[in-house]
Amino acid sequence: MSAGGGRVCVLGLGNLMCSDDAVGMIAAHRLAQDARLPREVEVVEGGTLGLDLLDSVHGVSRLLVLDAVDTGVPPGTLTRFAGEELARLPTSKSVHLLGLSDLMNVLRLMDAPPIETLLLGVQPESTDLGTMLSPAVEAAVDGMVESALEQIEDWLMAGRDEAVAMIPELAAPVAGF
Amino acid sequence: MARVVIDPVTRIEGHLRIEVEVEGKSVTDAWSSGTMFRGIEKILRGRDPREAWIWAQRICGVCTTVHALASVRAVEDAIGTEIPENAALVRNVIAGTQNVQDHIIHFYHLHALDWVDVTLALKADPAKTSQLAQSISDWPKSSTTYFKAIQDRVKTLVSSGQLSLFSSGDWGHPAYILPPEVNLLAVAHYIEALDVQREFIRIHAVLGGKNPHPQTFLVGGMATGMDGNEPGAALNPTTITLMNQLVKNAKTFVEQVYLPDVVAIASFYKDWFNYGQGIGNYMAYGDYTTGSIKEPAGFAFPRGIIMGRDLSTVHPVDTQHVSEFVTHSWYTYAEGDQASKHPSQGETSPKYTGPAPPYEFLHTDEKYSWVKAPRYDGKAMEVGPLARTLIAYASGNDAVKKIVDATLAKLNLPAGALFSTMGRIAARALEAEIMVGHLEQWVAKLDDNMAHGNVKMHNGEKWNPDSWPKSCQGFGLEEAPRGSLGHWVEIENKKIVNYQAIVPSTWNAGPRDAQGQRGAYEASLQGTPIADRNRPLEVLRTVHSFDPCLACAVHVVQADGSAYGRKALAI
Repeated sequence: MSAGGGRVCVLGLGNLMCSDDAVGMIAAHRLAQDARLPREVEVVEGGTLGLDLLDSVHGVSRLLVLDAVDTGVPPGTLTRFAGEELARLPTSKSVHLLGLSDLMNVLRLMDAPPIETLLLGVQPESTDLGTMLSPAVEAAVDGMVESALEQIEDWLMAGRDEAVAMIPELAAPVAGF
Repeated sequence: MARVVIDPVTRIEGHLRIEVEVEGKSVTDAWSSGTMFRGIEKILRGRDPREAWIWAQRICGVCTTVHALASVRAVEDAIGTEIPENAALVRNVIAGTQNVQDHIIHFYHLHALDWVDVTLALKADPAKTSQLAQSISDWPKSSTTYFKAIQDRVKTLVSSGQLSLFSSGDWGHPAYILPPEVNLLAVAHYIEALDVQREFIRIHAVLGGKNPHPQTFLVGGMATGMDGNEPGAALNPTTITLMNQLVKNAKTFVEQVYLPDVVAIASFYKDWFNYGQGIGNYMAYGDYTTGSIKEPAGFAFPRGIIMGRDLSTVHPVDTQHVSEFVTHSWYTYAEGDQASKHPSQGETSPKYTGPAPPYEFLHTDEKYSWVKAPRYDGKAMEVGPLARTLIAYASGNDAVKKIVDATLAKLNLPAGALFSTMGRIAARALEAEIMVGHLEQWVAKLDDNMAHGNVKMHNGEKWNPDSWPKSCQGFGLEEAPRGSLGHWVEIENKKIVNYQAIVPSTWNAGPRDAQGQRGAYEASLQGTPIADRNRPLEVLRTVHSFDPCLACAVHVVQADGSAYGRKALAI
């Protein structure tokens, strides 16, 4: 198991040349430039996945993935997948070497899975070739960044609590109560 | 006679559909179809040629660097500039690292499951696996305890239903013939290879600023800082030491794990040295030099063509003879679809005329693929590690001859056995071994140059577009992991007016041409045995032996799991 209080990583996914497919990459880019982003958080612009990302996510305790997710809801809608829902996302039809769930499985196989993984999605309108987001999806980017910042804050708090719990002198009085 | 369809072919990059005709227990004909349109060429028009590589490397999400490299070379050729030796070395290290990493990933993570049955690994005796491992290699991770621990971990994951990674295997298929212990050995190395490749590719982060999609390519050289006294420079004594260590680790893994595993597995599957022969014409542009890219004599991996499996003659390559057909591809040419066009005059006008989805079969007598059909002098060619190895072997390259002959001797096979499915797999491992040797030397040379104060990394003579001709054309060639890659660029008034790429998988995965000549995948599938038409594992073995990579494009996660290729077909 990964150590408590460890690394938090944000992974943006998507193809920058396929219009709304890029939303996770663009949100990750904006997040990385945001002054409110805690310094210890790594932001990785992961592009179109693949095993090359393994080094970025290996040993991470909490992983936040930003990506375009097609759930058939109106374009620009924010969605969240965690735990079982995330595990159920299909993998066999992935057009890439490794879908997100494949990447998670590889980490399990290596005995190094994150404690927690969360996927923040935006419903795309179009994934045709192009370098611009459609208006509805562009409007959703700020919301995605805000959600990401909130999630990071929650995780860092949780990470601090875990770190405290791992120091016996600090943990002991709490246990004694 | 029956037609069997595999769509999508999994454990590859991109979208590939294979249709085969089966008579009795054997494939009689095959059609390869790229089911996704790639329009990178259109995106590049009108852009500054100096930034073309940034866009071009997004052609693919995996072997990103190769397109960046071919692109800067094309522009350098067009505007007429040479690069400093250090830049050539850095490019060699980046591309060579990519090759070795790709070959390791291909063998263990994309291809091994065609030969290795994970469910049988669970039945293996860890003690016997340990004996086997120690009999073929000095690799230290070979104890009974170690294999038992791996077996337990895989068992836990499989029983909890979490191992979708392994779900694409045809477990229990009669074509799996390895003893349980070899299966366990391969599964253990599958997991170890995950760590090896993840560590090794850190070289790209050192030299490229980041990975994937390195950021340090530059027309005229590289933007990689080099300074022996500057801890912040990408190349300094510390990073040289790090790269030396990473190369050394990869070299040990290739020598003690990858190559012995390939030989061990091949020795059980010797009949696969008879299947998958394919076209028999092999081409390599050649690559990897510390001198000028215009001087093939200095290439570590030589340029050449072998025709009709005749290793006695290596023919020269002149890229003027490269052309592409769209007779069976979903494009049109202004000159008509029987014509073939040199990539410098290339045209990408998509026109889908295939069946409306959902459909059962493609119209294989007409157009049936988004991949064009490249030809050299009108002949179909196979490109890739096997082509490179054969051309180096036939050219009399000592290092290649030595290692190829030693491996063939271990398997008690003649050189002709290389023209096969298993030959492709073996060539890839042999090439990885040759390449890690070169990597050591290139890193040492960078170290030496730095020690002597030679830190020049960029030639800025032609950086200013005012120094360019009003109109110019150029091409950039490279030997990417999967084979010969070419980018062709045409520049007018400082802007790109035409851009064409012929990627390795275009050569290998392409459809028939105007004369009806088959592409490399198609030809290689003739005569493939099929034990079970519902599970055509044998077809996958041969297709995967090419390491297919059909350019990535869209990767939206679909929550309902619906088939993805369909949307692409509707474009």
